[in-house]
Amino acid sequence: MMIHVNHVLTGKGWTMTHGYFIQMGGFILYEGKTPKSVLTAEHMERLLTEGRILFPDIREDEIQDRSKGDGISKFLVIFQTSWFIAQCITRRAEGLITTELELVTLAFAVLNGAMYFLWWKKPLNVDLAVPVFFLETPAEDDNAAFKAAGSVLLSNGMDGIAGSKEFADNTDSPPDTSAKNDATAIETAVVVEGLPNGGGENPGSKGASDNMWNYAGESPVAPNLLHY
Amino acid sequence: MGGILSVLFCLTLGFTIPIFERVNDMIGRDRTQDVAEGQMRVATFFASPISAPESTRIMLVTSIIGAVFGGIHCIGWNFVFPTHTETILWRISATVVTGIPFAAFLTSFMNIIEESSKSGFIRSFSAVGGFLSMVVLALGIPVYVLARISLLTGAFIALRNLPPGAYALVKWTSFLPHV
Repeated sequence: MMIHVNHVLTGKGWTMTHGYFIQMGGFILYEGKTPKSVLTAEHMERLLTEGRILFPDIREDEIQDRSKGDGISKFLVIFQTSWFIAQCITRRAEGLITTELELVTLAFAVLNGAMYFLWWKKPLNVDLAVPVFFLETPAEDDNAAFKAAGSVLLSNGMDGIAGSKEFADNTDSPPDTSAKNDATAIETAVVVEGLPNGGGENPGSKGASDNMWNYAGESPVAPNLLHY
Repeated sequence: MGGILSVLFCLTLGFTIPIFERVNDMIGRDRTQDVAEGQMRVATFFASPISAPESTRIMLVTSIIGAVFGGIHCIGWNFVFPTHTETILWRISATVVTGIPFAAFLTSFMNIIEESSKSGFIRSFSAVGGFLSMVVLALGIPVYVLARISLLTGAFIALRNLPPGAYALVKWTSFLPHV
């Protein structure tokens, strides 16, 4: 099993939560005060290398604050399913009969455990997106490391690692605050529009994977964001 | 009368079409991987596109989870069922539900072996093995769906005639230290 850790992004303070968040469509590109479109990993990467946006350095706890799931909700579910699993095991140990329905439920309880493990860091039901502002004049300094790193969000691991050192050098420089203040001011006012079908038609679609397992789905780029 | 029927028909369609659309989303048609210019929200099952090797590795992990899920159904191999037919049906379905994810596991495993091995023999062996298990997997997916339906139905209809022992409860108090 190969798991790529994107050192450039972790060096910038990004965590698995950020990875889930961008995949959930948590970042929206703004031109001035107008929302333009939801940012995918590829789009954000392109804008970062072009220096057209500042790195969205939202903290993990800021994202988690938008999540409707918390310790108690997770604890309740985990307690309930574990209790059910424990009951099945004791019934077996005590020599009592287990029904088929209990067995099916047990299988779902185990599946639930796997889901909770994999989605532990995923924010639940986020309503407010984080605005990322398009810069008319490219910010050279802030994004120098991204250019040096080549492909940052979408790299296949190695080039990302090569760029990580330069990032460490870059983090000490004072951040460009002008755009950031703007961001916090508008942040609270931004609501993700509820378009149920993701905006309807999709002219750019390639129909790359019709396959359920995504087996033959050859895609040109490989975002590393989710592979922490 | 015709008016009422057509209203009912439209209402039912209104409720069912979104369900099929979600299924469509899940199997990865169009909207799951692309975001159009100006789109403000990603699709419900949106996933960033990934490379073929990455997708193989994801399949490796998920198929193991799937096989464990099916394997739990196999615990019921010797359970008491109201009729013999149900016992046989349960056993076949449990085997299918474990076997198809295992075929998926083999497919991805052979794929990884094939791409990483240096030995020509192992490469060709895993290529053939991977192809065969992929054929089993492709043919097996509809069978898997049927088996899952059969297991769920079987579990519910078995409730009509439970052995008396099924109603007995675990005596938790017996685990407390006592004189």
